[in-house]
Amino acid sequence: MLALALGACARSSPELPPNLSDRPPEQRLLPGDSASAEAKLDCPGLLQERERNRTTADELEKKIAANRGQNQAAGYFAGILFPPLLLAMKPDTDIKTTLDELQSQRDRIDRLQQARKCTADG
Amino acid sequence: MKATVCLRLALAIGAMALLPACADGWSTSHVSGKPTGVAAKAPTTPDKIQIVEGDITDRPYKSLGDVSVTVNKTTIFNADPTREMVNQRLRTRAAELGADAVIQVRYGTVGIGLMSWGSLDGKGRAIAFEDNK
Repeated sequence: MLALALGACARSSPELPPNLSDRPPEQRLLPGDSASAEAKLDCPGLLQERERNRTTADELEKKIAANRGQNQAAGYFAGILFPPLLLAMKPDTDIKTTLDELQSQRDRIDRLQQARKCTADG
Repeated sequence: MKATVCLRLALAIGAMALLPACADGWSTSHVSGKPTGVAAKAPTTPDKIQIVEGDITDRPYKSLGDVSVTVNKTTIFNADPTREMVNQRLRTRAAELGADAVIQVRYGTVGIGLMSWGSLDGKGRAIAFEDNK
């Protein structure tokens, strides 16, 4: 029950990447960036991957938003009337984990684009 | 008896009148990773602070600290907090640090918080441009 209730909690924003502002933009890569799957892509490929990432994240956020009203109502009535209503909550735990992973990928793509001096249109 | 009913009614009406004032929600904020040995900058104007989801590469900058804010809705009947509300709180907090922009901005998703029926948080790095003397 408690796990269900906690699952409907707000998802915290992902952690910020390290501050690399003392380096020039093209040297702001993190260990592991060069060995990632995204590192094999060229500038147009990185741009396409970033757009795909953004679209996926938007769709997942819409799914969480669609469940929000039901979760709030279930939480409210479970709290004051009938605790088993917590079972009606949709925790969306997998979606939240995926959103965090997508943010990490977006950060990595940004760093690779900077390192390669890609332009806004690829 | 009649006076008590009138008093309760007046209190209820008063409370309802106050609710719209809380529609923008209440918020908390926190700054971490402030650089040491750097002189404090004069506060800037919140409205002029840029909010950027990525990094800035065309101008050199210094980090002034990582800003986190959480916006909460006041009651279950208020609208959920939005990213624009988070941005506004980030601007206000970054302006106090003397920032020109907040970069690497990212958001959580709205859900039930410890103290609120709807809570949304956001983070970003407050920066000052080095060529902005």
